Amino acid sequence: MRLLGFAVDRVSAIDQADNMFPETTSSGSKALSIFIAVLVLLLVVGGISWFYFNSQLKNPESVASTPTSDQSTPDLATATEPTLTTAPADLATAISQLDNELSIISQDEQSDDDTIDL
Amino acid sequence: MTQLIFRLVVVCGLISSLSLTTVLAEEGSSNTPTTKTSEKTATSVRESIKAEKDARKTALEAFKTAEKDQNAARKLTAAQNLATKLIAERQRALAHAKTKSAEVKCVAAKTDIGLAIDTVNLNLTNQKADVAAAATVEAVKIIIKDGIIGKNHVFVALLPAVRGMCAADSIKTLIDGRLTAVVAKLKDSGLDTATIEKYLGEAKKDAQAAYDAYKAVANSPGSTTYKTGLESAKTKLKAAKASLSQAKVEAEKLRDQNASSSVTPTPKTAD
Repeated sequence: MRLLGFAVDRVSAIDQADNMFPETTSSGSKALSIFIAVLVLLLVVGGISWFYFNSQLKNPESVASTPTSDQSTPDLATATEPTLTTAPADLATAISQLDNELSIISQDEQSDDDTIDL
Repeated sequence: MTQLIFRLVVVCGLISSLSLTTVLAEEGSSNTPTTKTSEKTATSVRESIKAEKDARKTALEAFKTAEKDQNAARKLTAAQNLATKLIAERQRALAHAKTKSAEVKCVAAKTDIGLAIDTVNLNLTNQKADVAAAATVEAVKIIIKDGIIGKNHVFVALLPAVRGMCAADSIKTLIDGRLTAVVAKLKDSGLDTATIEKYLGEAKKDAQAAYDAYKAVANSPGSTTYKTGLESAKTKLKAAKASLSQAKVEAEKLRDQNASSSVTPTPKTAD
């Protein structure tokens, strides 16, 4: 909106300038040319970006893969080669997964879905 | 004329800026699922059968309304419809649990889980036939209470048991696989692995006990002792977790020990 206000002010200013000096080419016209060039450049950049990002969005490799399981953490069995450095991380992941599973098991146990009032 | 061109260019510029902003915003929002995927936490199977649950609730309301009716045939139809929805809800949950257990890493438990689920699924299929053959509302009510719900306990016993089996199995897989390989490497490096081996051994033993207890519940979810079975299994699973935590502390110690022993002094260069 600020840009639009600025543009309108510029138009009014140039309009007044044109009326004051109808037959002359002032320095304002040079500024106008630069301004037009910048805007055209912006238009071109916008267009190129539009096509570029759209093609990126359509590219299946850039889209997040659909999760095939409800486990959030990576499968340790298929992770990288186990080393002493990865062992604490493996254990931390397993403990975190176990916490999550225990929490869901408790929720399921307390579910009222197997209760019916006939 | 100059003004017209100027205004056109201004409008074009604004449109292009807006389109660029929109595209960038779309690009940003398209990235959001990636973040959500990575942050996605495990969820209960119960949450994935919302449509079936809603259908069962609607059927229950319809049955309660029909009960006030004097028309016996309408009452029976409403009761049969409710029983059918209860069965559909459970069979959907079982199908989902079976798919999930096949997808996640509880490799060894897959067969046991599949057998337990198939047994309950067969119960439900038989109960569906019983419901269709029932001649009175009371008969349908008994099938619902003692059969569809009471014999199977899909949500409060079978699903937690299956989940617990999977969790216990994944601990055993981790210990027998990656962690055993690490311990072997530590031994090769000359480090003392007795403590970490002790913790891993305890974790594996508790995970196995938890697995057995969960399996017992999964194979007999209609048992009157299912709650005790689940509780005992959970206690074992928590014990396995405690041993894993101790093993983690020990693994960190050994890692640091290994790092400091592998730092060799830089040899002095000859002049």
